[in-house]
Parts: sequence; structure tokens; C-alpha cells
Amino acid sequence: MSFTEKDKIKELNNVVEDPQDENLEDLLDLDKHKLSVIPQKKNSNSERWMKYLGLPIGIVVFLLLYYMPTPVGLTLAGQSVIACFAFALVLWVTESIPTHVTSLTLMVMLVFTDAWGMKNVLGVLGYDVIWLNVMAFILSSLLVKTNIAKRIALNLIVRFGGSALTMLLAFIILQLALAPLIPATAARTVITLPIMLIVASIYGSSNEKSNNFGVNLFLQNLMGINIFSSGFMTGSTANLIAIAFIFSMGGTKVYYTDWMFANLPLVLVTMLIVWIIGPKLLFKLSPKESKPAVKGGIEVLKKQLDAMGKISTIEKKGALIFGIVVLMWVTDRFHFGLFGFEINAVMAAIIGGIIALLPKVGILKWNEADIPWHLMLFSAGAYAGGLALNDTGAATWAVQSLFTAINFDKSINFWVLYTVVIAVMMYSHYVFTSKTMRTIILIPFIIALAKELGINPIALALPAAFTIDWVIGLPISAKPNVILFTTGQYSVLNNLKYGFIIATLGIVLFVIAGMTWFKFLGITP
Amino acid sequence: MINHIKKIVILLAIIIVPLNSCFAVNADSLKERILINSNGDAEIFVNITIDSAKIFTIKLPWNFSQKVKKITTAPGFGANIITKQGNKYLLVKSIDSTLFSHIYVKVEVEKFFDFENEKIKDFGNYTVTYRFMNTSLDKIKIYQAEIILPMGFNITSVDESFPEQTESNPDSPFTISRENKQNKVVIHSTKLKLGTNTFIKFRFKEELKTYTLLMILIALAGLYLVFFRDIIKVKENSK
Repeated sequence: MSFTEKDKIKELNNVVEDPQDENLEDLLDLDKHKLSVIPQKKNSNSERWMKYLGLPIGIVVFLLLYYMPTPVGLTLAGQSVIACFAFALVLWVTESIPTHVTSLTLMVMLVFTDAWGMKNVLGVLGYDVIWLNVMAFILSSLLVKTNIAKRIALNLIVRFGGSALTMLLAFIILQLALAPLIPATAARTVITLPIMLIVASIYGSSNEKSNNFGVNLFLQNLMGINIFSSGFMTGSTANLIAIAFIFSMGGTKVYYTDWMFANLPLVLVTMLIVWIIGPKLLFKLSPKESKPAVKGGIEVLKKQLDAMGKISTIEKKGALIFGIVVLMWVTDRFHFGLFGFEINAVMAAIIGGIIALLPKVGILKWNEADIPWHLMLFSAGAYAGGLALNDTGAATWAVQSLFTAINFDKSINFWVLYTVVIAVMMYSHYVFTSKTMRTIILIPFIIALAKELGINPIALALPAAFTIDWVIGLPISAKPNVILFTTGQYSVLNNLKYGFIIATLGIVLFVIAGMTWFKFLGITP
Repeated sequence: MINHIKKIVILLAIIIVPLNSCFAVNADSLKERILINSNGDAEIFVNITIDSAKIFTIKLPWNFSQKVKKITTAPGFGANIITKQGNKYLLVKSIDSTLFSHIYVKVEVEKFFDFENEKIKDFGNYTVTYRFMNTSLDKIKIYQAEIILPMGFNITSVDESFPEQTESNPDSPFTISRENKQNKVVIHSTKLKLGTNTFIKFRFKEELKTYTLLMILIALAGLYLVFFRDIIKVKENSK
């Protein structure tokens, strides 16, 4: 920010409306709210009790699961992973110890209980999701430093930010527009992340002092990014795998438009509910949180936007670097034809990072990149737990045991079966961190089950496939979740609560759609 | 001349017919059940269903190197282990070709798993590797091997298997289950042609878990409750 620009803002801030409002200059200066600095948060009475009892409860849960007789079909390693993961989950929710310390503890426990090998556990730090996370924050720092993020954020707020609700809706629309263009959910997260950070900051929410606007903004974007992927057949690789199974095992070919016509309306209704239920019910916005927390309100922001003037050279340079990355993400399907190889989302982000940090060419210095390493460690440990659940077969065992426990026979009512299938499919994302793995294991099983009971496989398998991308329950359920959690704007408990309620409402919506819309389209009987 | 040709044809028939009976056989299913005793010896049950009954001898793949103690067959059969060109076979004979639709053989072997000399790895695990190679049958439509552990042992993890679970082959190639309080791993494969194989590598150990961890963690929970009392006292102090 130039000196004259600062002066103009100071002048604008003289218009005092609310003594509790903050200076725009302070809010927009993300150097003062660095993500890499762990903030000290004040806890409420109930939060302090949760914190106090979290560790002992976690230990009791671990001991019960670890020492109970091994259930049939589960390996000893699988049992240990379940015990360790449950322990960590209790600690993440109660925040008895810092979330990244819990993750490190989980990594040690996985090794010491013989649940997952040390090489596997330590290797998670090299996974694509972690690299994408690092690059996301480098690119985000680039957009913040060059003021591009500020310009876009101010534009968004000036146009939609009369109230927090319209601002939240603007982001949902933005995610809907990006979903068919960029299939990689992580890429969409990286694109919108810096704008989210600035907008949240203007509404008074940072990692040090997050408020309900921040919680709603980040969690609604998390849901938008994931759930909008389910609106399009090409929204994720897992969707395409499911379609391949439905064709090869069920004998029905599903086309792009079939998928979109059936599921997109449901996705739009869901996101509308997400938009309303968060700020109105779950994380209610106070009057203060419903407007920009800036002295002078929206007028100051308008003037600030005007004060920014025309796009500067550094902004253009930053936009060019980021544009190259976005171009690589958007054109991924043409890479093979053009170059003979594909540049995936992570490699595109790394290329962007290289250009951004390159002396003379780039505009970012390493010290200016704000990377929350403590949250990277959280992600690595949490991801290790999730991957171990997959790798040891514990996740498969849990879901299949549930299906086996319910005695399906030909006399079962279709709608009971349909509800159970949708519910198992929906909630299974709590134990599977891989959408592909979840699809490979569950969709063929559902098709086989339908055939055995004399039901058209598409009636169960297609609605089940529509839920694949609903990975909204935990910060480790999908790559966008991992990246967004590292902003420190919301807690594991916030994510768990919002995610569980929306997933449950999703089941209800799928049942209603099954009885009406899907029936009309000929999917369900 | 005709007599000579007849003699040659008869001679060829004498040579070819037994060869055919050994090689050109399709198996509908081949199931091996390996029951490991607590001393490491094992009883291996071989069950095979074949689709051509007009044979008197069959060579079954035998992928075990252990010393054979005893072979038991169903009435009307005889069996022994033979070695040809480095490969071992379970040779089963019968005087009645109609019996050959279903064959059952029990082979008792010594030290299938040598608990005394086998290296115990980290966390008290033993490693077992079993590879079934179809060395003699034209095709096995369904193959299955059950490896049943001695009482008190459990499977830690299945580390490798062939075939693997993939997008094109979504069924898990193995299952973990329990039979009469004994844990077992079952590997299954289909359409095993001559020369192809199926494979599993898994770790197992005694089910007993040390209670040291239990004690340490309970103590840790207790100490935490004592030393971190200030967490819930903050508000009172601030008042």
C-alpha cells in the first residue's frame, strides 16, 4: 500500500460510526493477522470444560477400542487405527491440546500401536494435498501482496456486501460458476482462498479473532466447492468411475446431461439451505457481524476501492502469474494433446509458485509467503489417520459391517433400502478420505445388492453416486477441507456440526427427490 | 502296410491318452485349506471339482516345500507328491474315472510355519507369504486358499496380494474372517490359466496385548486432570 493511499484511508476513517469498528487499514493489513502465527483464543466456560476433559475422554475411548476383542473381519492394525483415530477425533473436537499437537500424537500412536508403518506415516508430508496446501498459501500471499485479492474482495463487497447474507450468496454463486470450468476442487479452493481471507478480514474475522461470519464464509465455501462437484458428471474422477461401474455392472449408460438434469437441481436446493441455515440457525450472525467491521461502513470501502485507482503494474504481473496457473487448471483436459503429458493441479500450482518466487521475474520473497506450518502438520497427521483407515481396510470393514448388519431380503420396502443406501453412502465419507476408494468399494456393492434383490441397479447406484462428492464432515474429508481448515477461521467442531447437519438434511432431500424428481425422470421406481 | 499304421496309431494312443489325462484338464474350482497347528505343522485340504471325468490320473499344482507326513484321500483314490523338472505336483489316481468330478485330498506337512526358528519382527509379528502357481491345470475357474491360524493368533495386516484391488477389479482379493475361534485369511482368484499365480503376504501375531500401555495411559489421564486443573479455574481467577 502506497503512503498516499494510507493517508487517504486514515482520512476516510475519521468518519466514526461505531466505536467497536476497526480501521480498514488494520483489517486489510494481513501482515498483522499472519496465518503462520498461532493466536491466543479466549474460551467460553463450556469450551474450557471440553478442553479439560477432552484428553481423559480421548484416552478412555482409545483404551476401550484398542483392548476390546477384535471384531470378525477386522485386522489388528485396522482395530488400532480405529482406536487411534477416535482418540484424535475427540482431541480435535475438544481442543484439549492444540490440533497440530494432536496430529503429531496421532502419527506417533499409529506407529507405536503397529497400525501403520513409520514410512507410510512420515510419507504423508510428501502427499500432493500437502504440497498443494503449501503452494496455495504461496499463491495466496502473491495475490495479497499485489493487492489483487483486495481489489476483487472490495469489488465483491461493494457490489454484494450490503449485508453479510448477500456476500455469502455471492461466494456460492462464484463457486457454482467455477465448478464446471475447473473440475479440480483443490484448484477452486486456491483461486478463491485469498478473496475469502480479505472479505473475512473486512467483516472482522481473522485466524486470531474469528467470528461467525468467518465460520459461515469458509464452511459455506467448503460445502459449495465439494457439493457443486456432484452437480456435474465431470466434477470429480470418482463420479466418472461410478458411471463406469453403472454401465459395466448395471448395464445402463448415464450421459452428462442425465446426470446434470437429475442432480443439479438438488445441489442448488441444498446450497440454498446451506446459505440460510448457517447464518440464521447454526452460527447466527450478530448485527455487528452482518456488516463490514469498518469505521464508516460500505462508503469507506467504496472510497477505498476508488483510492486504489487503476490496476498497477505489480497487480498486472501478479494477475499474469496467477492467470497462468488458472489457465493450466482450466485446460487440463487438453494438455495431453498439446504437450504429450498432463499438468495436474499440484504441478500447475508448483509452477506458479516457482514463477512467483523467481528472482527478478517473480514478485514474492520467501519471507513474504505466509504459510501456516503448524496447520500443515495438522493436515499431515490427520491425513495419515484417514489414509491408515483406508489402507488397513478399517473403513471398508466399518461400512460393510453396517450393510451386513442390516438383513436385506427381497421383501424389503424399496424406500427403506434406498434410504439406508443413501445414508451409508453419505456418512461413509467420515471414514474414507479417498472418494475414489469409497466409490470402488461401495458402488459395485450397491449394484450387486440391487441385482440380488431384483431392483434396477440404477435406482440405487445413481442416487448413491450423486452423494460421492458430499465430503463435508471433517477437515480431512477432502483436499479443499484441508486447505480451508489451515486458515484457522473455524474449529473441527464447527466443521463437524455444520457438515453433519447438512449431510443429514442431504439424506432427507435425496429421499424426497427419489420419491418425486428422480421418479419423474425414471431413475427410481 | 495297414497293419503297420494301425500299430503306430495304437502306440501313439497309448502315449497320448495318459498325457492328456494329466494336462488338458479344466478345474471348475480348486480350494486349498491350510490349517496351521500350534506347533507349526499344518493340515492341507485340497478340494477340486473338474469338468472332464474321463481321466484316471491328475496332476495338481503343489506349491508347498515342507516335508509331507501323511496323505489321506477319499475312498477309491490314491495320491502322492511327485517332482518333475523342479516342480512339485500332487498326483492323484483312481481306478474309476467317474469319481474324478470331485477330488478331495488331505496332506499333513511338517513345520508349515516354524515358530521356533522364524524371525519375530517388530511388535511380535510373524510374516507369511503364500504363492499359488497353477503349474498343471489348463484353467482354474475359481481358486481359493484359506490360511487358518492357530488359536490365539490374529492377523495384523495383509501387506500385499495378487491380484490387487483396482478400478477394473473392485472386489477385494482377500477376506479376513473367523472359524471356530481361529482367525483366517482367504485369498480368492478367478480364471487362473496355466502358468499364472495368485499371492498373499500377511503379518500375524499373538492376540495378547500388553497392559503396560493401559497403565501408562490411565496414569497420564489422571496426571493431566490434576496438573491441568487451572484450565477450568481461569474464569474464577479472572473474577
